[in-house]
Order: sequence, then structure tokens, then C-alpha cells
Amino acid sequence: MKRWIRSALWLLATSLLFPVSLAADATSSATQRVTEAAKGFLATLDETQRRAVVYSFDDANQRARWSNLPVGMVPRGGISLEQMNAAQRAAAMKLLSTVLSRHGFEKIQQILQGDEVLRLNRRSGGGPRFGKELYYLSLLGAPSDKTPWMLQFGGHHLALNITLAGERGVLTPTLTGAQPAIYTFEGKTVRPLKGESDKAFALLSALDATQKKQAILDYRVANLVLGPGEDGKTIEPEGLKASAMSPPQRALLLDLIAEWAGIVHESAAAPRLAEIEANLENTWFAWSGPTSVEPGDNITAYYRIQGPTLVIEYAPQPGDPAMHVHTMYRDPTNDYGRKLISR
Amino acid sequence: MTRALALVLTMALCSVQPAGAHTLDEYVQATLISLEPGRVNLSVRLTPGTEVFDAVMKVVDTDADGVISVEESRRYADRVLGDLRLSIDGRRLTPSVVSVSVPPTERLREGMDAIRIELTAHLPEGGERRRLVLENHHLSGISAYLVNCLVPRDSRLEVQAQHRSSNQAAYQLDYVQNRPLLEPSTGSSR
Repeated sequence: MKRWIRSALWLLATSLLFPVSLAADATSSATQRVTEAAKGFLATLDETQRRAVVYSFDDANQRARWSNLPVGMVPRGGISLEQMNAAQRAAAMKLLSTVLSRHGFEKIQQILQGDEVLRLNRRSGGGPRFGKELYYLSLLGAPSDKTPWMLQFGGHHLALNITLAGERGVLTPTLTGAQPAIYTFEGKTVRPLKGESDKAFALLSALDATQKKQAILDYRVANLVLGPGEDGKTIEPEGLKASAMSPPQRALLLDLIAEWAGIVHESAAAPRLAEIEANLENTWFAWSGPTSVEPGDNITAYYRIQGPTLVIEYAPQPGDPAMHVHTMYRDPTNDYGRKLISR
Repeated sequence: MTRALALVLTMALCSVQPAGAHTLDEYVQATLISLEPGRVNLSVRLTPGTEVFDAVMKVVDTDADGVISVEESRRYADRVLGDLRLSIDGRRLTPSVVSVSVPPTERLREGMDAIRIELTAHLPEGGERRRLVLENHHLSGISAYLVNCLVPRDSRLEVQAQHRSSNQAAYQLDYVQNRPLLEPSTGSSR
């Protein structure tokens, strides 16, 4: 069975573990469902809110207005969950749950909840605000199942940039992060980036000594190289090339990549994973930092996955690196759906 | 690896930041290198953590009025340039400042923005196999370094290997130029 099919099935199986109340209508395409959800959200807004949410599709400034930083430090476009009433918020959540896979929607909810934990644990005083209400939704262009448009949702440690064009959906560039990256919610331990940490460590552990020598960089990587503001750049790849991995190791690599590629809904994730798998032999895995982790904890090492259409970075932040992580997901050939739009 | 680079790497090892250092405690200097036939461009992004902001400002805001003037920006870019050592095939290069961009002081203070300096240097003609070495000694006591090479847009240039000191203060790039450089290429992307 093709690995991308296995990954898609994994996404589907995982999604079944996270029930949401918004069952998809099997008779319409994913893009139609997303478009209808977006129109439904817009219909709940008053005119002032609508003007704040909708930008021109070719608004380059708004397209690039995303960051890992809190919204008080880098203002986002659109309107925040805090500025929405209950019906508007429900419509926004319906839109997100439609455009994302259930696994992706779960991950995003956990990132928001983590920021709420950060807010609750913070001592009073000045400085930026945190919390699950401070996430902004904006649209570039008019929702359509024919012509391109874009959805942005983001705030502290989150920037989803999703371009939709016909039946295709592009999730890059997208930033995820977490602080705290491990917390307790309703009696359960939550790790929003659990897969990104555990699967990377599983891949590293599956490498033999010679492969590790190639994969593990002998220098410190202090932060993301291609984070916010670094659009359109491709750096030279380093580390271990997947062509030097065994089939089981490549399967681990693809499964790790699916943590990002699978955030978007399954109909968009499946072709994206197929594309990544087709280029897998030319994909590199590089690791910098500690090579051990306690069970249930997050890795404290930086890693990068880079292929012809892919850049993923996982960057623990100094201080308490297991508890504060930034990640970046890019397609240097198709960030913001560049390829789709030029067709 | 040359003996000279090995010495630089050894020196750089001595200035590695403590393992537990926080980003807030560091001045992150990220350099992207762009190769062209006959030219190398450096794009340096300098982001002070909030806890080292004052130390950085002492160097940048030389009249201590809390505002970084255009003249202070220029002088600071020259200071950074002076703290870099760039060579090709063992020959020292003399890069120049193309531009410097300094955001408002408050944005720097909050860690929201970065100083950006663009540098460029002419590359003398050389053989097919070339070695570029960059050393960054700027504010080494408080800095964390990142150095990467962009994939060359000109297909005649091909990166062979990158070597770094453990803190990336020293960087060596080995590349090949496949054909003689007759004139600057109009560029073919890959």
C-alpha cells in the first residue's frame, strides 16, 4: 500500500478519535463545504466586522501579517474570537473544523488552550496579553469553490495560512508552537506538539550509528532559520538524505511530516503527502541538540526536514526548551498557493 | 579543514553560550549568504533579546538619547562589518554595506523586530573549487549565531559542503563553479 495512502488512513483513523459535532456532508466536495462554512461565518457578521475580516486576495501586506509573537506585539488582521459573539464564534469554529482535519483541529484547539494556561498562570502586571480568545480570523478574497481565496487564523504561537483554489488546498506557510508545551487540562496531560516530538525522536532512534553521524549536526541552531518574515528563501539542505534511509525509516519520516501536512482537511492533505512522498528520496533530516528524552516529555533538540517542496523546522526555545516550542512548515515552491494561483 | 579555520573554530568554542541560556539573554545574529558569479551577498538579521537590549543599545545608540539616528545606524553597520572576517580561497575580502534597516527603538526593546544589514563583496576570479569563510566576532559575549547559504540561483554554482563551529561564529562554505566566469550571468533559477 502506498505510504501516503497509509498516512491518509492514519489521519482518518486519528480523526475518528476526536469527535466533533460538525459532521461533513458526504455529497459535497471539501472545498464546497469550506466555502459554505466561510460564507456562513461571514453571514453572522455585521458590516463593520465584515470589512475588518475580508481583505483583497492580492493584499500582500495582510498575507504576510503573521507571527509567533503575541497579538499585542504583532497586531493581526481580521477579528478575534474575543470580538465575536457566541453565534459568530460557533460559525468561526465550524469554518476551522471544516478546513482542518479533525486531528489538525484538535491540535489547534490544544495550542489555544495552552495559551489560556499561560494566561492563567501569569502574574498580573504589564506586558502582552495571552489567552484562547486572542486569535484572529481573516479572509483574503471571496469564499469560492472556483476562484482562489485564502483563510488566515492566528495569534500567539499559531499562524495558519490556507489558500484554497478549486479542489486544492495549500497550508503553507504555517507556524505552530506551544507554551506551555505540556500542561494539564480537565485532568489530562496535553502535549499539543506530541507527534512532532515523539515521532522525530522515534525516527532518530531508528537510525544506525553511521546515519546518526550524518543526521546530527555538530553545531547549535538557536532558532528557526526560515521563520516569520523569511518568505521565498531556500537554504542548502543538510543532514541525512532519505535516500540513505531504509523503507521503514522513510515511513517514519513521512509519518512525522504528516503531523504538519495533515493539519489541513484530508482531501488537501492526501495529494500533498503524495507529492512529498514522490520527493522523499531527495528529502533531508537534520538534528541539532540533545539525543535523549524522558518518556512523556518533549525533545529539546532542533530538527529540520527539507525536500524539494518542503521545509519543516522544530525549534525548542532556550530557557525551558521542552515547554516552549516553535515550528515552521513551508513549501518553498508553493507558499501561499503560488503555484495554484499562477495556473 | 584548514589550520586557520581550525584555530578560529577553537576560538569560537571558547565563546559558546551557557547551555541554559534563554533567547531573551541573547543577541541572535542570523546571516543568509547568497552566492552569485563574482559576488557574495550577506543578509544579516540581528535580534536583541529583551535582557540584552541595553547592552546592544550601548553600542548602537552612541549618544544615548534613546533614538537610533540614521548616522548611528550607518556607524553601527560599519561596526558590524568591522567585526566580520570574510575570505575566499584564503584571500581576505572587503565587503561593503549596501543598506541598513533599524526599526523603532521600542520595537527592538520588546524583541518584536530586528536590525537588518545587507552586505556585498566582489569575488576575485578563482579555480573551480572555492572556499568561502565567514567569522563573526560581533558582540560575541552575548550573541547566538545562525549562518546558512541560500541555494544559488545560478546553476553554474553548486554548494559542496558547509562546516561550522559549535556556536556558528565561524562558517566555511565549499562550492564549485562549473564554468569559467566570463561575465555575470543573467540568472537561471532552479
